[in-house]
Amino acid sequence: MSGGPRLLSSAYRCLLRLYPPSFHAEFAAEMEDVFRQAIQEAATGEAGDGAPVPQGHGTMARLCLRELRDWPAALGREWAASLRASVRPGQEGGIMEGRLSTYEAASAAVEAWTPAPWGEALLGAAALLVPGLVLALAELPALHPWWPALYFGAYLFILLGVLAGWVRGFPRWSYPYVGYGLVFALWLSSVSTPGLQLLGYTFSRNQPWGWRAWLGLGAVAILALLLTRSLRPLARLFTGAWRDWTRLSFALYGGLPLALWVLFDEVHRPHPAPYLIVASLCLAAGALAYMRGGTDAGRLLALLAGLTASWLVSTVGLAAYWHGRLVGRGDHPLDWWSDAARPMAYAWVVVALILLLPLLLGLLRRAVRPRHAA
Amino acid sequence: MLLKTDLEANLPLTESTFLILLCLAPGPRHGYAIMKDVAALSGDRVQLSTGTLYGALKRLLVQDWIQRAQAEPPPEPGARVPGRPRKAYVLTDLGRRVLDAEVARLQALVDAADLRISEARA
Repeated sequence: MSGGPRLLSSAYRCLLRLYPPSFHAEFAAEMEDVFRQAIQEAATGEAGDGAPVPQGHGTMARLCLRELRDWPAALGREWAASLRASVRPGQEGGIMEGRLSTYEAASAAVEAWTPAPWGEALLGAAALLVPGLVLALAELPALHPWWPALYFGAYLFILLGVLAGWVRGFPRWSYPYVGYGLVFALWLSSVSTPGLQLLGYTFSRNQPWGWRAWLGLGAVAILALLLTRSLRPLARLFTGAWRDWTRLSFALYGGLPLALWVLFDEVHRPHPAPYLIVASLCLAAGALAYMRGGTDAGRLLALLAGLTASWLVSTVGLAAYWHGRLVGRGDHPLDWWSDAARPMAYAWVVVALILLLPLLLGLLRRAVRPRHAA
Repeated sequence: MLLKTDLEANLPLTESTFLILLCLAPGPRHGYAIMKDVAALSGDRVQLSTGTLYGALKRLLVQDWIQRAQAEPPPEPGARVPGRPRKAYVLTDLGRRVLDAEVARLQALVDAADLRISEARA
């Protein structure tokens, strides 16, 4: 085979790799053979049986354009079929049976909850501890000049956690990484960082991050899709939350290090640092207790305990800072109760309710399950 | 076994599906032969890409309308396109009944059209 057809066949082979793994395993070799034969015949003008066929660059170009024209629709159809099969296993049984990769077979079922071993529990707790500690340490004057590297380094750690979790089919430890990743991107999209230089780009005054805040998660999603070539992990993320609503609470809990740091937004450095460090330890302890917990109620209590302990520490920090201060043109000094502790108590109720929201999902599942069983 | 009404629930077939089943009616064909045969049958109006062809073959396999036949031997070592043994596809009994039902449906349409047109001319 000459250079042109060989190059086209190589490019075609690359396109085939973007099909779902089960489809690729079943048909890619055949499709490649068919394409190679078609392109060869178009190049030589002679069919395998010696019969003349249309020849030339025009014929080859038409062949390639036809493939390119139909490729997105064919790809979409097969991925949609793959996703449907992952949500309703067995739908494509038969020809695909026994051809799923080990990865897909391992991802096929969401694991039943058993208390996590220490290694897995620490992995889950690290999603709270690492960003919490980094945000706290950035409040120290000695480290603050490196705040962009610290903040984005912590975010990179979270993104790596999301990627690792995605590739492994979103095991339970990965939920707070997803939670923090989403909350951070959501928060950052409305934040402006005037003068910040990142990869040669300088942010101007009052310019919010907007869509740029989602680039990190977008890159992780593309990388994960290329690595897994399957939507099965995403399906597993949602089925995991559907079958065990506490995982969704755990994902929301993952955003708390950022929430606590934002509470100290107006507080001068280095006052927040020690409080944020202790609060991060409390959150991580809550995550550890969640991962090691046995029952739904026990795991939820672990999260609420982590939230409450970290909130108390932060309340003490905020009350100590604000009490007696004169702010703006007010001639009355602030009061620790009405200006710090009471708003924090209200905020605790709101955050606790947010953590409890997934309970509604659990109740909904309980309501619909008997109907399905019938 | 599918009843007649079950067969009719699958009709009408898409043009691609009908042409693929029609290609397989005489006997087993491998993918490339199906692709060329579909183009020939439709007077080059329907030119299947590999993605469309194998997506359709996959669904026909799942529906049990076709099945894999004995693999054809690979082309001779001296052939222009060497390769692996080529997988061929063949109609199942169910597939043949679906095809017959579709042909009967189309025939009934053509008969009705002929009748109406001849009445108009008369």
